[in-house]
Amino acid sequence: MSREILKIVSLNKAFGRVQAAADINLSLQEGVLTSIIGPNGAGKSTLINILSGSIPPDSGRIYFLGTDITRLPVHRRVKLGLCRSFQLVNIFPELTVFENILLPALAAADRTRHLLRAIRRETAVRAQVAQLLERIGLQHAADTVASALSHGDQRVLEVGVALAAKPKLLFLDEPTAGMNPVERVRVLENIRELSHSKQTTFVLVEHDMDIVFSLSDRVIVLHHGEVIGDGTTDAVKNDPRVREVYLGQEVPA
Amino acid sequence: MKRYAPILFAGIALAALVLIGLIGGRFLIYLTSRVMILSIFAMGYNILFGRTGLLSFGHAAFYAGGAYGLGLFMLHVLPHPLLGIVVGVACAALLAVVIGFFCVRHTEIYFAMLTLAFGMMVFSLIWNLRDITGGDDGLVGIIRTPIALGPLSIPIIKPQSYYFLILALLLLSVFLIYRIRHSPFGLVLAGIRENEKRVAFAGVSLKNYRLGAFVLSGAFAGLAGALGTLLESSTSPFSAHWSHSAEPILVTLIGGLQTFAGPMVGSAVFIVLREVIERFTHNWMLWFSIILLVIIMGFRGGIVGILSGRRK
Repeated sequence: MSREILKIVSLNKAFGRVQAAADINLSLQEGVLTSIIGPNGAGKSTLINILSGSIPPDSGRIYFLGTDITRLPVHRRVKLGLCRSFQLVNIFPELTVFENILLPALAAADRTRHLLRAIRRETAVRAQVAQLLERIGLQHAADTVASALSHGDQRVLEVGVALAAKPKLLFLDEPTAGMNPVERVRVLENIRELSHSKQTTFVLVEHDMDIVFSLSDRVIVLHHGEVIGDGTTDAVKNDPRVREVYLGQEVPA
Repeated sequence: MKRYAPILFAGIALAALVLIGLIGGRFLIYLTSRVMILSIFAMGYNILFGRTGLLSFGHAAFYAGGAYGLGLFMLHVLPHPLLGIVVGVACAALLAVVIGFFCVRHTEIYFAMLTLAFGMMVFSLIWNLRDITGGDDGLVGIIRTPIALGPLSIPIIKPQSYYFLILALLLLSVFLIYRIRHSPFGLVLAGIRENEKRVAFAGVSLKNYRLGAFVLSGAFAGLAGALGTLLESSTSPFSAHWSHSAEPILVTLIGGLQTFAGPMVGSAVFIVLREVIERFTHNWMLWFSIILLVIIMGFRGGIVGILSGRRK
């Protein structure tokens, strides 16, 4: 049995009178590709924001590989190996594609404190960056300024920047939104491969049910901040409560 | 060709600076000394402003930290200029650590206003602590004694010999700042400017790196302050005044915010223009502000930005 990578204990968060997370208890296993789905306003983004450290919970505890990270700042969580990508493009617009990947890669290798060392000399990290660029298919654009990329390529880069931090657990917030079919297949292939090689455990937040059901080992359904469904894709598809919430929306049989 | 242009320009500039030092008249040497000191001030400042994207209105405080650190050390402890410079830089860096600790917790306008407030605090402290700082008289009679290095003793009393000390320290500063800019640390600073939220998600502590940039720029401001004090043989409390904090901002904008050489070019233009305009009118600020308006509204990349033709 794989080990537990993330444990969430009675997590609560309310914005005014809106309950965005209502007593959430979850345990995520290493190497299990998990998707979080739910209608708009279900609290999916809030949950990711709490887990990655952008907003503090009202109550509850979060454990990452056994360490209590509930009050840790974002950058400390990333150092431990918990990272995320963003739904909206969130890159370094005036840096080149290479530099966009290089920055988190240097941080992951603990090299960013070097004040007077030439960045050209960081050959080991640079090789990793080149490898990652090839993997996500952006090697041809390495020296392009990120803001000059097409929207789809920026989305690919977004996922690349998150991967460069070498996370053990990576939340991807709608990773393929705005990508063309070719880019989408490439990114999904990467996710599948990396997930199989157990380097990174992925948690996807997706609207596209085709992606969710073709890729996931486990699906968690949120509604009004509550977990209303949790299990394998088949179990969730046939869950009456999930069907009720998604009534009128197509659930592939 | 384009690749070698910066090296060519740097070579010409260096040759010109050495030539001025060798055959320049008293006034030209004095003026160029001031250009070089302002260059150190502005280039250090640009680590924070152009590179990290933080606008500080309080860097005169660190300039004064260097000036008074050197002045007090030379007057009361040991009249050794080189040690005095080291003490001045250390004082400025220490002051930057303390002030920066509070300022880097905030960004944008709040950061700018906090630096302004701390800068005014330092100014009024210098103004009021008469017994230590000499109040509105400042510190006077700081003599450029020879630099004793073991058996060696290098005289710097002549403006010409002091000029070469400034030039050497300018070159050292340019070298250090160039290395910082092209280091992993420098890339993180650029990342903070571009997208600070994402930098945190790269696993980097924003506050620590902001503070690092703040202290580095403060230390270079201190070096400029110490050198300025030795040049004039005195300090004035107005070196800490907030209006003095505007100088590195102005020259950076004139020269080119996102360029490496911009602050140096801007410094030369600033000081020379001021000298020239002051010959014709007392309202130099009016004319200078018009020139500044044209540059900011029409030539956003500054002089260097236009010449290199790279940035908007």
